[in-house]
Amino acid sequence: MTDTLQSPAHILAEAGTEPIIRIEAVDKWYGKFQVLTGINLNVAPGERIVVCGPSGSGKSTLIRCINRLEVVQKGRIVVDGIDLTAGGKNVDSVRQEVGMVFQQFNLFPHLTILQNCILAPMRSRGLSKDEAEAIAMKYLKRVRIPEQANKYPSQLSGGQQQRVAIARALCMTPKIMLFDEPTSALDPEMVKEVLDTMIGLADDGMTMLCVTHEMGFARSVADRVIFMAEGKIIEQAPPEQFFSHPQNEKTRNFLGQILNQHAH
Amino acid sequence: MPTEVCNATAPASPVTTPCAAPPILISLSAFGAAEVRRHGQHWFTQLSHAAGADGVEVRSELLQDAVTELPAIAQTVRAAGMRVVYSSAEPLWDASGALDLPALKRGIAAAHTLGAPRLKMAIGGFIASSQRTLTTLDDCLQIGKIELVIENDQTPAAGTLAALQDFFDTANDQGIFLGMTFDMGNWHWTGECPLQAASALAPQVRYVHCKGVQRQPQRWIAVPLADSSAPWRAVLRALPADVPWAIEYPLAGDNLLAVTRHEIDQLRHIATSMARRPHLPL
Repeated sequence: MTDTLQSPAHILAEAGTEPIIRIEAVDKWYGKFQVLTGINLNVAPGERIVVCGPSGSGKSTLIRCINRLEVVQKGRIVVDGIDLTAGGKNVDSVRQEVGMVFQQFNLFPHLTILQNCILAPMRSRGLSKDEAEAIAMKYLKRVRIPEQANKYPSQLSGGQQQRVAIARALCMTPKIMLFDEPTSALDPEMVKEVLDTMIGLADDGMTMLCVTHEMGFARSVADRVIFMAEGKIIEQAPPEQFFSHPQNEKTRNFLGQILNQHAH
Repeated sequence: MPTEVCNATAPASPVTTPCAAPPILISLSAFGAAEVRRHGQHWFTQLSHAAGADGVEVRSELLQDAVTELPAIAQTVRAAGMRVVYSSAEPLWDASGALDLPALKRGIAAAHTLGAPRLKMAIGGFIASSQRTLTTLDDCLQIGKIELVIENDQTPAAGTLAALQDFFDTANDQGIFLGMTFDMGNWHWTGECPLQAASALAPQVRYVHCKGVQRQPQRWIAVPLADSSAPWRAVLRALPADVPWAIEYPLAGDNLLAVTRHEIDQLRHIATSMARRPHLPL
């Protein structure tokens, strides 16, 4: 397994900065099926990680474990100093610091865009409606759709809905953003607008873990690319090394397939 | 084959008097498959109408629930006085060269529900032995009172110039005239020259899919005509001037209504400027 860590975030980590995410010897099963096996992963503050791998490799499950949408049966996950595997109130604390964006947007269809964005800050952070709306408009401007604030999700395109989902997550001012295949439900013409929004976040220093097959994004944005297969981290490396000199045969096969697929 | 170096010339059309600009339709696939499945074709039909389109092309492959969607679209297009074309994704002849009569009947039935006088299909696996089924096809169209417009698709079997010429020659020899949907962009996918195709097939063309193209590493993508690397003006000049045009390149943007309106206006502008100018041999 390649484990060369050369990005600024890793240099920071080596200099003694505490990882913002620590995943130690995590195993997870769905019934008798082991979906994660022996996962160890440290993420430095500000680090941008892309997780890729074939369908069923456990990559979505892994990032869902980071805000405890999935429970692990073995090992430890510590996020921003809080041990998630201890359960209880820790979960709520962590979820306030970890934003998540899903493949299918998951906006509330009966609420306007603005109402979608202010719901969690008002309920979880205790903000007033005016405060929450001010923050929501700030982030809707950030994702370049403030004019859609009073529309409903069904009136927006997929790309716009996904940008709203990102704004909604940002309204909680999270320290970490998790993206679970954020562009895979979009038409090709809409992928760029979402990736551009994510690139903007990355440029601002947000800690990001992104499950995606957008290898162009991985190449240009990620500090580290992780390849998973059969529930294990098979290989991880900075993108230039990952794409130029993949060490594992499974990684090479995957890259061959996906790069060929995207080229056609 | 890069079409920029294509040697074909458009037919030497005689100088003509200016004629009315063609109706501008929107193939609803232009809005993106995921988007259309999310909102439904009825929603995009209404948007197309609001943007000033003269009509829409409804796509079988994007219907989620034909039983409810087709009547709803029919009602909207009827009320708005819009044109409508039904596009079936099922090929007319199967891989063995047999006419897929059930597919044809499904297409005709859907077109009837929609109130569409035109049905668009591709020839699929039409081969020499298929010619005996052309009479059956023609009978179905006559009984169904539907105009079939055969499209050049992106497959080697049903999208090359040779395949389409063979097909139309065979049909014409039997006294069966079938119109054509001329997709300007698809020729690039099959490595054909669109100008040569326009020159050869113009007499059959009854409907045009406007689609610009750009070459990306190892693939073609559809783009607006204004962004196209293909000689689209020459192709349009080579085709009949009064047949409907449909936008079949991606329409996307934060203000989709404005984007759609802009693209319709662009095509109207192109059509008007071409109608003012006499057709000259290239």
